[in-house]
Amino acid sequence: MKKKVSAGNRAFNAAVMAIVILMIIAVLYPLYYMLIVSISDGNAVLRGEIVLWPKGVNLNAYIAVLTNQYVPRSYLNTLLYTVSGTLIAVAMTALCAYPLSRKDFYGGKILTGIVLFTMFFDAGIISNYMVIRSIGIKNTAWAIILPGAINVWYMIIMRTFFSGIPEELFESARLDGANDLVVFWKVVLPVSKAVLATMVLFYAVGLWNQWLQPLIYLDSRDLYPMQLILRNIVLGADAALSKSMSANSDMATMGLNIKYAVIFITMLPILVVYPFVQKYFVKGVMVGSVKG
Amino acid sequence: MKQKAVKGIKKIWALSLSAAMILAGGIPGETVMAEESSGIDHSEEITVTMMTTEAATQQFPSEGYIYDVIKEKFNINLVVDPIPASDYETKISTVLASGDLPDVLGGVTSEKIAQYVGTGMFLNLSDYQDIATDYFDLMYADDRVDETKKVEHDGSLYGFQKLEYYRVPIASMIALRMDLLEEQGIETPTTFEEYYDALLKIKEAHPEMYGFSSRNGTNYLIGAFAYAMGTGGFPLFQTTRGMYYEPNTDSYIYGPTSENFTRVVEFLRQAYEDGLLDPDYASMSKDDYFAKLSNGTMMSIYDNNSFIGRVYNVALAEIDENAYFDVLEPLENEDGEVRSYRYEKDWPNNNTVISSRTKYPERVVELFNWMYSEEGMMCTNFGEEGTDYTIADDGTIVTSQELLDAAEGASDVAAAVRGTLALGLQGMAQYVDESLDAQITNAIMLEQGEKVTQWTEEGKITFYPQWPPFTTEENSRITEIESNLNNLFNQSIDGFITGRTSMDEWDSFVESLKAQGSEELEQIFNDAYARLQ
Repeated sequence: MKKKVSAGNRAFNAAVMAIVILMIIAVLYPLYYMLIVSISDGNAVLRGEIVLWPKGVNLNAYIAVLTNQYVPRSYLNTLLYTVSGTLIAVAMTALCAYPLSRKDFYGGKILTGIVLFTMFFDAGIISNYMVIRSIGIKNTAWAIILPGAINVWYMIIMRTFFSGIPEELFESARLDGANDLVVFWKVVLPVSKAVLATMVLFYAVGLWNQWLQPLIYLDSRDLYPMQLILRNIVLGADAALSKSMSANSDMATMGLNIKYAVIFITMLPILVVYPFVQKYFVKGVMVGSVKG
Repeated sequence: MKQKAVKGIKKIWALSLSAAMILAGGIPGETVMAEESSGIDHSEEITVTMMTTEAATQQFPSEGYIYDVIKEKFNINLVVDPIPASDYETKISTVLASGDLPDVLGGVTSEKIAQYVGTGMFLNLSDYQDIATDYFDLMYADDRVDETKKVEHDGSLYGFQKLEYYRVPIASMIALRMDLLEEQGIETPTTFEEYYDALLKIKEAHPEMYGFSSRNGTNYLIGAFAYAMGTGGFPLFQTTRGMYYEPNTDSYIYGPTSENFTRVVEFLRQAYEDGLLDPDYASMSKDDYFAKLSNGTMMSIYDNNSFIGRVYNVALAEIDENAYFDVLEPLENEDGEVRSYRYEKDWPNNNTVISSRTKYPERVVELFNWMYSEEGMMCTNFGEEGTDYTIADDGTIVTSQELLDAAEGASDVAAAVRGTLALGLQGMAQYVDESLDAQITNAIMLEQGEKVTQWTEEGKITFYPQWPPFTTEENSRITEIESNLNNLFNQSIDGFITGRTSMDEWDSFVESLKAQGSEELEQIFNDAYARLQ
């Protein structure tokens, strides 16, 4: 029997639906707007004529970005830093989080306190720079991968997650003769896929987007990640325009077209990956946030 | 036994953690002092490292003709690390603060030199004056000596400043939709009063249009009009500095507290009331500003003339072939004076400094001095004669068609040409000749450039003067006072312009600004200026 929906309920549902649709538009329209501006004719963009549909469709902005001689190399660098950095970061974070999650870990509380201290007090950019230089990894890929390998906040999430694993699992593993490493590898990690996937996403996004560390620690252009090159393209165009005599009108609009093309190019990989890890992401954050 | 093994593993965990924390924590750096050598002997092949800025529009190659010449002539392998210009300030601050300098550091502002000169990390170029003769001759020539004094520190120079041999002149000027003037039968305005009346008349015929606006907030707008109207402050779009140099009194003045400043405020207030000042002027983004100038909703602009021929007129012509902007001759103000700024001569905020720790100070000084010689200037601005450029019978430098063809389709052709060889201002040049711009830029730009030159010669436009050099203590006090003044000024000024605040309250507002230290600020600037005399 079909349940009769009252007029009040229908009105309520309609209102909810309207609000949800408005929210979807509010989220999607900026993305759509960036897309149509990035592929529209420069002068039409300049005159502010792009609202719902692109005008004079072209791919000049994408061509300008992708044909910049430094972009392919930097894209590869970014992939390298993101993939290797994420692997190392997740491994180190897990290795740090696991012992700290164990109640019987010798000196665990003191070490947790010390680790937490670094979350609230940072030595600052100059001190970090001097450390990187002193240990000889300045102007190498390690300067990008290693310093951020353990993010304390993420480590705490992971530790909380590990603390929630039932003690019985550890006991039975030990009864079977497993040592700490075996327990970690064969018991803890397999039941922690959700938090691991979340960490992968967190670290990957962070490494993909980072520009300050590469800027500070890298001198050689061959090592630059994409963000440094693209940021220069986006921010530099405006500054150069006002004092350049020979630039043509493309350059004025290039700023906006390129800005949006760049945002799309940088967003794309994350947009593609996100739907596949989203379920782990939500689960991982929720589980990690509640101890129990 | 098993318990022992478990304890061992726990210790390994603890050690690993400690190692990880040391990695993330801090190990004090070691300082390696460079040895010094002397004598300009080119027999030893040396490597000189240089860090400099790379503009978004012009690539900075690390090899090519210039590097070959430097190697051949000076036996120096110049290794350049170009850093993206958008973040160069952050990078350079880190490098300077940590003392980790390469042999040569390009793109250093005069403020940075002043800030770090006391640390001794920069080579005192005046100690090498006998080597850097070309540079010192230019810096102390009659047309530069006054400005050079402003960048001296205890009578010495520490930076190779990028100097101007030739560039197409650019100035901040009023441009007007000339087609609308003609349409309304209005004479070209020569005074601010006529300019305002012309805008009003156009507004009557086109009520949907606005007279002018700002692409960077209120102070930007004030900075554009103030000096020309007989007062000053926020000169050439320095939106956080209310100070300016007043030539009539030969002193530095805090504009907003000066007597004539109400002219600007009342002008803008009236324009707001009459619908000439765009109501979004205070928050308008650059993109909206460009849009309104390009789609025919703005009548006028007070900004860099370089935008007009390349940007607005091109976009306007697509929707109305008769529509165009052109610059007005600087307007006469209430005092009967005609005055306006153009950008400063040379590039005082673009210096190349040499590390005092470099092993080869003489050879590095010699190299950079060469860039100010005729040979070095031609090489670093145009490349190889016969291949990259030729000199016409009338002396004009003509860039090769091959280079121009290779840059065809680029959004900035000159930058693309220069970018292939590390040429020009954004490349290796220290003594900059931008006549390539004159070769390829459009006619209206050259025409405007000639007007700027003519008006400069007539004294209607003057080069914007640099600030006098301040001590570290003065700089920190200036920052403090300016921060307080800006807070107060920015909170209140829009109230006066939009009419929310009565002009009767202006005097008490000026008193409040004085209470925040505007007079002390003037004193600091004028004391620093007096030290130069």
